[in-house]
Amino acid sequence: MSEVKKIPVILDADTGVDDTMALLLAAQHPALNVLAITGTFGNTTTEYATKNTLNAMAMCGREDIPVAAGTPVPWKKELRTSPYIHGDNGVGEYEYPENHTAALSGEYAWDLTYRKIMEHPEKVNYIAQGPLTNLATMLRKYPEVKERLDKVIYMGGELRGDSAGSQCASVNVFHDPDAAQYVLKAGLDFHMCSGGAVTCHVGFGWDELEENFGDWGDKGKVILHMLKFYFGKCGAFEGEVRKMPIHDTPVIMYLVEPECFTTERVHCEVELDGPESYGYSLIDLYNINGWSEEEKNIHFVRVKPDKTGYLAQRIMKGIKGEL
Amino acid sequence: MDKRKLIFDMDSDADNLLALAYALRSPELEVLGVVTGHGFYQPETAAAGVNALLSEMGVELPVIAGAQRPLMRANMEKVLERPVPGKVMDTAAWDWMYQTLKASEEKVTICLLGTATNLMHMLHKYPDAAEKIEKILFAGGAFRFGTVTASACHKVYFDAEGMQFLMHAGVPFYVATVDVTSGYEGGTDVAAFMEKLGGVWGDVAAKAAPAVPATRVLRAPLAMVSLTHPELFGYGHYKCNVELHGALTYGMTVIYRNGFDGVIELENGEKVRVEVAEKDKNVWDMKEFDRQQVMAIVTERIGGVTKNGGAA
Repeated sequence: MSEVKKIPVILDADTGVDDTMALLLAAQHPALNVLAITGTFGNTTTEYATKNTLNAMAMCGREDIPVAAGTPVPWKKELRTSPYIHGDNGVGEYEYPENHTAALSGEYAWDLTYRKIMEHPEKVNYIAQGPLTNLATMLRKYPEVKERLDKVIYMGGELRGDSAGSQCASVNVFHDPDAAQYVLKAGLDFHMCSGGAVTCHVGFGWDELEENFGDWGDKGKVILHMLKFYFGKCGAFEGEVRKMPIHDTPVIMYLVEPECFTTERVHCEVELDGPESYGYSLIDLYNINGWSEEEKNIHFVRVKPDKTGYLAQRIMKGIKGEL
Repeated sequence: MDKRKLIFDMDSDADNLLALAYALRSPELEVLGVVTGHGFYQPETAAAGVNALLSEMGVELPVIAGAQRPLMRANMEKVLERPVPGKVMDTAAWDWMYQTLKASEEKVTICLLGTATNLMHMLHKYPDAAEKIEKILFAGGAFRFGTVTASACHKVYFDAEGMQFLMHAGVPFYVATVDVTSGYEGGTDVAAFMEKLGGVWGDVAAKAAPAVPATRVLRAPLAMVSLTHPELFGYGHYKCNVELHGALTYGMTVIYRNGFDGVIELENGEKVRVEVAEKDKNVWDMKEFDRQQVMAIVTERIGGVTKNGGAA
């Protein structure tokens, strides 16, 4: 059997509950070669995010992947985190029995990322699960890295009406609109996975999660503890029973199984001035402003409706390392 | 049966003329008069278009050309000229509206199919006018996409400051956005619709202001059906603001549908999300409705209009 070539990727995460699941999925996925993971703020602080990443990688036996902390604050605006969804420590108040630090790099996130990309013989993919601050900082410090980046996949951006960060902004843009704008204008092969078009459609029922992780011993208990907190804060256990998204996980699947998704090229930029719409990512889906093909700077991703159940099953298996 | 009294504030694109015709042909409604505003055309051009419709339908109504420009800015688009002679009352639109409201025993519903400027001037000059307004029904605004820009609906964009004032003037404000009246891809072409209707509509279309891209889709008449068939419509109550300072989003209507109104820090340092307070909910947002059913009602009421076949 010929060895399947693995896809090289670097992950940047504000490691809260859903990020933890996505990192477990990516680190154990047989088709992925994770070169590094960097920590950012958003769901929690950069410090907690980096700790949570290190502990999650220890849990799945991937302490060989170097982990680095990025910036603790956005470029311009004040830091905001989401303890009301992810708990104060980012992982639903779950306390890891010990803090693993073996994989912690002494480098800054952007320096480690740059070095790993330049060392790799092929172009490297980049998945941003949180605000784009670390990526923007790398692009600013090392503009030449652009040529070495393959796909940049972003869990963030939102069509109007689907937003969660403010009245019209997606959380991951709202946390650092200036960095997002810088990245959007950097001329990358940028793929936008929004909540409304991708992640909210891949739902997980509590029963199936209990069944899936029930046979994964202590690790399964940790997963369920975190997800119960996260789902609870999102209102999953109030009112009618409904399936809930684990937002960052389908974004990993987009890199591995792009055939489950569709994309279209559109123009997107971020509003930085308006007080009512600060941080809004204006995705001109119908090209009302008349952008040329060259000006269309993102691939707007949608999940195929008939693939959502399949993806949910693959994700649950993948978090356990069973793909 | 008591008729619901209406004042129209509109321009004269074909979509708006169809909406006015719908009201004139509805036995439940009584139109007291029409004021026109700026937008893609000058108010006099719009008034002439309205007069052309009234003349074809054999209806006499006061028609007043209103404000020439928005509150804070120059006209936001190049005004398209198409002068058509017609009878226009020589009075200020806001004075006429106020006098008409005061003279009416019952409260009056304002059908706002154009920009906010006339009503904004009236409520500035005569704050007590608010007491005589049943509600403002605004057929415009957009919460998912734009018409004249990627983020703004033209009816808001042409006087965004005026619209922000009007939405917060203390008058019940109902909004039938382009999201629900047409959607982006689901709309009916106005010209094709008028052709199908036959009757006087060919003549009216020729005399009315020509359609521009933002106005080619049938929207306002569908909103009017909420006045004659309220049982077919539902509303959500939300906070809504117009973005006035965005570089990309000037004139965008921002609705707080998720109910969150920011984050505050408590004395103990805990950060919590704040819910929109009931008193801050300033618009009634028309929900999705059965467009086919509502279209059928519109078609039935204005389909048979022949020369001088005015109000039913």
